[in-house]
Amino acid sequence: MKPSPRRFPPSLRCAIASRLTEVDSLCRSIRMRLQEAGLTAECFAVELLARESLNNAVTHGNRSHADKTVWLELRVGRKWIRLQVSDEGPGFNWRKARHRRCELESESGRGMALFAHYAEQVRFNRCGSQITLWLRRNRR
Amino acid sequence: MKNEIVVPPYVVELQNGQCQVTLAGDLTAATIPDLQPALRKALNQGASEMVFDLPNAVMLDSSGIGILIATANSVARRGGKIRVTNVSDDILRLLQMMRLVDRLNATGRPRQESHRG
Repeated sequence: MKPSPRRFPPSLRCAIASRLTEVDSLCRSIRMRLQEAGLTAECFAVELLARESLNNAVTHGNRSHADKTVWLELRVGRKWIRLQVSDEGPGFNWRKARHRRCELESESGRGMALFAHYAEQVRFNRCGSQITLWLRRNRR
Repeated sequence: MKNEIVVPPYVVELQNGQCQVTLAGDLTAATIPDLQPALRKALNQGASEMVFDLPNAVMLDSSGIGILIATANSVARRGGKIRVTNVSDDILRLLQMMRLVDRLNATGRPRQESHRG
């Protein structure tokens, strides 16, 4: 009997060290899982939101201290996809940051605009060390 | 999580003031530490036109956008320009949403022509 190809469930829960290379590996794994599960329409948005959240957690939250951890939880439901990223940092003033506008010539500061565009809902915990994003499935 | 370094390779070619940067993969925060010194070197050597070719890029994050804007700002100061070519439909939509298509002179990948027999 021919063995069936290895398939990963799209939902995922993991912890990584605060390195951008770890972020890259995790996001490639998310891309592969979503593609294997047939979620090609949602793949770009989910990966982009995961990268932005994880990059922020590593560089701003944990200040790139490799001994600190970043946690990610991806839950794929029938109608919704939920992505949650947490870090060990003190958080940030997300209430102020979400109203900040980014100039065209600006080299940074586009994360909040990406969250607002690609996610249906964006929630932070009180101190800003955890972000939760919801995406509706079958966006196209 | 397996501890591995994934840095997509790139080629930087400078000729007559035009610098072509061809990326084999994505342009993201993980790519930038490796790519940035090569870009700085090309700009210091007088590149006034920068072409970023992204034929296989699936992902462009805000850090990748940041380095494109930084390069565009650098070449604009010396009267040059930037072009970003062969971007995927998803990346083109992202740049449209960010109102950066004109600023980066971004163009998509050529469409496959359908053959009718």
